[in-house]
Amino acid sequence: MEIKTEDYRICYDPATATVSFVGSLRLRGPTEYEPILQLLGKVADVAPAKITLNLQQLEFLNSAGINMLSKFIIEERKKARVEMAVQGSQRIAWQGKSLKNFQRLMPGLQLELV
Amino acid sequence: MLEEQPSREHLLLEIERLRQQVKDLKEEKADLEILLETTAEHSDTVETELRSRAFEAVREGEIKLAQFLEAIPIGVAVLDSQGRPYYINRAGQQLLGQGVLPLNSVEDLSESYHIYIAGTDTLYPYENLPIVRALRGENAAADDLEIHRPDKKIPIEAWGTPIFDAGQVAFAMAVFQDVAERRQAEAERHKFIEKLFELNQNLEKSLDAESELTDAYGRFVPHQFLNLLGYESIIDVNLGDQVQEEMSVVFADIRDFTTLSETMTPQENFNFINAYLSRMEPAITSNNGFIDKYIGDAIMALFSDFADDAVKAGIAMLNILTNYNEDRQRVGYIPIQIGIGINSGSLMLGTVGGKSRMDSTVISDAVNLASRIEGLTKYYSVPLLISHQTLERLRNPADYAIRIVDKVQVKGKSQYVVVYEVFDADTAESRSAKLANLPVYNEAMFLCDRKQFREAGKLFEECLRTNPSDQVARIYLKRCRDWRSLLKGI
Repeated sequence: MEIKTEDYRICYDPATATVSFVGSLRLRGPTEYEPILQLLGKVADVAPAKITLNLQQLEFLNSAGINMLSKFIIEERKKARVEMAVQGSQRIAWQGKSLKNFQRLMPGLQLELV
Repeated sequence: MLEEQPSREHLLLEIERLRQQVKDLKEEKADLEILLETTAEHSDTVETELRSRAFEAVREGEIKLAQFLEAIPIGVAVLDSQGRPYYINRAGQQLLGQGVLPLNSVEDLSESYHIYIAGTDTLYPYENLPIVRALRGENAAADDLEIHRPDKKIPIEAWGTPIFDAGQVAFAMAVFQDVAERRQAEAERHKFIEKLFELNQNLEKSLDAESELTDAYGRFVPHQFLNLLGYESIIDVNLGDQVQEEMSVVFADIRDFTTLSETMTPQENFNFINAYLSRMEPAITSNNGFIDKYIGDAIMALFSDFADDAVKAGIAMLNILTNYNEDRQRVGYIPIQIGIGINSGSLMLGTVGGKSRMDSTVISDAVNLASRIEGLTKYYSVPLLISHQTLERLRNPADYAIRIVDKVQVKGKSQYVVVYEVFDADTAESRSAKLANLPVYNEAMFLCDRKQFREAGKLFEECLRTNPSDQVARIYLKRCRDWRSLLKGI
């Protein structure tokens, strides 16, 4: 499962149950983020117990984007079917600040900031 | 009955449901609050990040620009829209001796930066400074500025350009450089050109002098002689220079000059010779010949390759002589006679002598022969004799009045040279008489050659009957008679 454009690439690796985000995401609103949300939904459907979101190469994410991810996390918390882990990078400024909020949304979420 | 109030169970269920709803709503509210916070925080973080990146980019750009400006080896100065110094690059500061000054007014520019009109002690009028004109939106240039530093004066050339922003002048920029070196180079170039001009004039003068010299010399060493040796100038001639040429030689001599000169004083002799020679000279030169030398009253002239020129010259000389003699007789002088001998052949022209005393000379058997032929003119009493070598080289012998006169043996050789008379310059009478007799005369000469002296003699007698003044015929008649007597005597 993969979404790829000039600016970003999102793909799922079943072996590691990891969705990797690479590049720059600055789509204009929920409608534009819908396909990504759907991909994430599908991953949650097929995944085993735990899925990992790897954001370490996501250089840029706009507000609508963080919104979308947050909503996904809320969704999964409510469904309570998988465990979630998020991998981020300290060198990308917004990740150091914004990713912590994911833990507020899903208390069991594992956050790894390298 | 069934409209009783809902049962207690229903109420409890409802309450439970509502409680759950509230709980859910509370949860949702919590979620939304987190979402809102998250999004807001995220937005701020991103904005801050982007802003600082933008600033950095601008700063980097500015730094680069400043580096470029600093690196330019020409002075760059910028005034803001109010005319206050805004920026001066390193090269500019070095030229001006100072950097950005906090001036109150644009009027203080010239004074504060010591800008003067070049070559004077007058401050440069501020409104004419190219940078100030640029403030008014003009592109301007000036090359008469001078910066007066404590230790030196620097001549400056400047260009001003306005920098616009949305239609208004935002800044005025000037570019300026030290032109002292260039001015000096120009001055040096001027000097150099002047020197070159002088040298050129001197060269021209020298060449003129050389030319004058050669011209003057030309009266002693003919130009044609030099040209044949391959020179333009007398100065170039070396001892031992020589060239071999096909030429015709003309010898001309005054008959019995010694006798004549004895009747005159030395002064009269000199005058006479000059009068004679200067009359004869044009006959030579107008026929493309040149006089190689004068030997007393004798003339030796050379003609390059064209025998016709030599023969024509000889005839011309005789015609001039006729007129000259008329002049002489009119003032009571006796007429003079000349003899002319012409031969053609290969001559060697060159210079002989030693280092200190050189002369030009012509060496050849041909020259000696010409001289001998000239000598024969006296014996045969005819003024103009030519060799067969000359005759052969005539383009069209029929153009001239020619008849055979003798066959001479060249000294030391077995060859004979046939000698001919050219009688174009005879009196009309004599010429037509000789021409009329020509067939008889030629027959007679032929018979004489065959030693048939009796028959030859008869024919010569016939010639003399119609032309008693024919000296050649007379001489040959006597010769035939002498031979006959001789033969009879045996």
